[in-house]
Amino acid sequence: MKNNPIPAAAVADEDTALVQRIVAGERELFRVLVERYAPRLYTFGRRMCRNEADAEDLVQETLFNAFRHLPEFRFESRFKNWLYRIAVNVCRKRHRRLRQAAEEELPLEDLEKRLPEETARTAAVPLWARLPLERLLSEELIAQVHEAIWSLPEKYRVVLLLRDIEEFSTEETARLLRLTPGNVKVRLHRARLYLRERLKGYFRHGMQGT
Amino acid sequence: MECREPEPRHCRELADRISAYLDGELDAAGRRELEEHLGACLECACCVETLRRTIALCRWAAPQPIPEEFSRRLDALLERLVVAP
Ligand SMILES: [Zn+2]
Repeated sequence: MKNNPIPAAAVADEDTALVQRIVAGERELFRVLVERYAPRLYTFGRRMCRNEADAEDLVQETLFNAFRHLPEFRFESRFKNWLYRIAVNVCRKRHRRLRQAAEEELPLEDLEKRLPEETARTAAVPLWARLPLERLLSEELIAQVHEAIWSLPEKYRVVLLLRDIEEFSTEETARLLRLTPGNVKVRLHRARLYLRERLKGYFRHGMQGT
Repeated sequence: MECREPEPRHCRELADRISAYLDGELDAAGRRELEEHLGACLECACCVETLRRTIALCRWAAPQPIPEEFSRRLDALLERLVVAP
């Protein structure tokens, strides 16, 4: 790690001072950042990659790259955003290597047209959307949600994870993925519609009373 | 409460805005238009509730604790990183 002059932070949060100290030479403080972010990165990795080992690689490579490139961090965004930008890049490189189709589309055209008519047949909001959340929770449902997320094409999956799980704003997600905010919104909406169809199917066939 | 005179085209236009509505990204006029419609159209109200629930389920099901074995490997990686010159 080289000691470059540390720029003043344009965006300051609870990580800023920590990052500045690490870059200034207190390398062991990187542990604090790892404790803070490894769990969420692991969740992100497990939802991005079906394979557990891939998720672990994603976390390790992201943290390794973050540490190595920390002196280049300009404090123009939050550290967390910068970290996730690295994670997304690691993921993309990996998928390119595996020759996975990143440009795959969601077959949503029909789905969107069907939308009002289909729900019209449901006399009221279905139970699965009405019951208290705790009444629905089960291991099986968790597995279903994971399957549904994995089955999204990558460009939709990453938007859904950053927006709905990591809770980045539309603007932040757009900057992170180098997309327009409009693009982020469209992909997010489609990803959610797709997941809803999958969950609907599950509740219709897999559960009673819906 | 039922949608006696459904206007599918209007519903479809509004359906595209449901995510933005749930995310608080509609302007006041857009929000008012949608909410008025939701009060009158059971189908669209149903769309909103199922989508809202989908997002909640997604959020709830996502977290995955780090396995202990991996946690140890992360510690080892960290050790190498921060100690190495
Ligand atoms: Zn409607």
